[in-house]
Amino acid sequence: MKVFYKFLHFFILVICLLLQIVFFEYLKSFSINFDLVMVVIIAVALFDGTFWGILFGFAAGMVLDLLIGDIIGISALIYPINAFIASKLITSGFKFKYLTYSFIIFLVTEINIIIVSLIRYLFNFNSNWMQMGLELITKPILNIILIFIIFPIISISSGMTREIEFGFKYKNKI
Amino acid sequence: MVTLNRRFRNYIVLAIIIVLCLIIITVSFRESDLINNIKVKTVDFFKPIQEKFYSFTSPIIRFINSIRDYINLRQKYLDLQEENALLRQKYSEGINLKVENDSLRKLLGVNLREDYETVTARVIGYYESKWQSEIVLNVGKSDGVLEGMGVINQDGLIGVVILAGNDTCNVRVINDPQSNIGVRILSSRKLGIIQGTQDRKITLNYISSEESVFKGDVIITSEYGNLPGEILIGRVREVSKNPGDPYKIIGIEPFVDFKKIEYVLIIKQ
Repeated sequence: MKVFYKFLHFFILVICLLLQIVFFEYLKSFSINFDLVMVVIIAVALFDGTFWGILFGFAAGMVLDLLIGDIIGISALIYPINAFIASKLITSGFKFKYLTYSFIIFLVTEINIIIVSLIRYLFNFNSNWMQMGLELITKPILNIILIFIIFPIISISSGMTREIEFGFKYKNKI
Repeated sequence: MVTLNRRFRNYIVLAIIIVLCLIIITVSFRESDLINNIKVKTVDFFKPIQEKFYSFTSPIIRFINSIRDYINLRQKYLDLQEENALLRQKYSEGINLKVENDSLRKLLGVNLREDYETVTARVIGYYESKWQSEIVLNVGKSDGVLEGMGVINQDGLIGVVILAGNDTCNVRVINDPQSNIGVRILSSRKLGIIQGTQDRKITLNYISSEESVFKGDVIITSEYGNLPGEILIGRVREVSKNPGDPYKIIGIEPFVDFKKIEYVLIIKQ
């Protein structure tokens, strides 16, 4: 059954990847900058484990780069790191709550923007620092909105109970 | 022991992926044929699914565009009124020039310019970030499309094909920061190069600060580049000058609305 869930999550990831290419990339021209693939990968890393998050992140990043990227390998490098950071944060004592998810997405998005800008800068691309600053503010907020769509789908299909998600399971320990 | 192995497994996998990606980035930066071939194969493989997804989301895209159009309706109306007055003024002048041109051509025995051979294509994907601006089309090498061919629509130049797969191709739009196209100012016939910027604007470079360039001047492709000459690009939006700079800073307003492109023509050369 667990293998089936992994396939299901991979299928969801592929759909989100295509949605990112054909729709969310278009929205970027209106400065609406969602990163649907990153949110799905973080959800997979949190609910299926670090290993699957890293693998799915690499696969999705590579496909995204091959389809629409100008430098192949940037997304394939960033997404596994995102998955790893998200899993490390959740295992360091945070609970499975929406506030935690929001914090993780916020932090990971900021790290993403900074890493990508630095790599671009190192590879001799010009960096527009003012636009990066604007992105640092808007992109995390937009990605946090996606949590409320993506995380329930992944958490339900991974068999996680609502008890854990709302923190009730640890009530007695507290 | 098992937990320890698992912990290390994640670190090892991540380390391998990081090293692998850094190698791939370096190889891709050197524009290797292997990476390009893999890219072409991937684009071709995803084409049918991408096309279906695009047709599924295109009504939403059209809806978003219609909202934007509605908001800008008043300004657009005023602009069109102004343009209409100008065009009416130039219409009679144009007819006279055409008659004169035709008779002179006949007299000199010079043939009329031939139309370009084109391939019609549909947009099946957009990709826009501060570093790149690309569109994906549903035609490729099997339709005779090759890298370097120009892409236009009824309004003017859109961009240049940078990657041609068997059934799809990627087009670098002229507002991409990596785009460089040789152009002419229609009125003064001066040559320059248009380049995209990270905030998706287009600038005309290498026009001497001594030259007179006016707001509203029309920009067309130059015949010296890879693209055919005299394809409309846009109008001069603003002209400024930095003290000590030998060139003018010229902003271009493209004729094509890149957010609304659905069907395009690829010029076969």
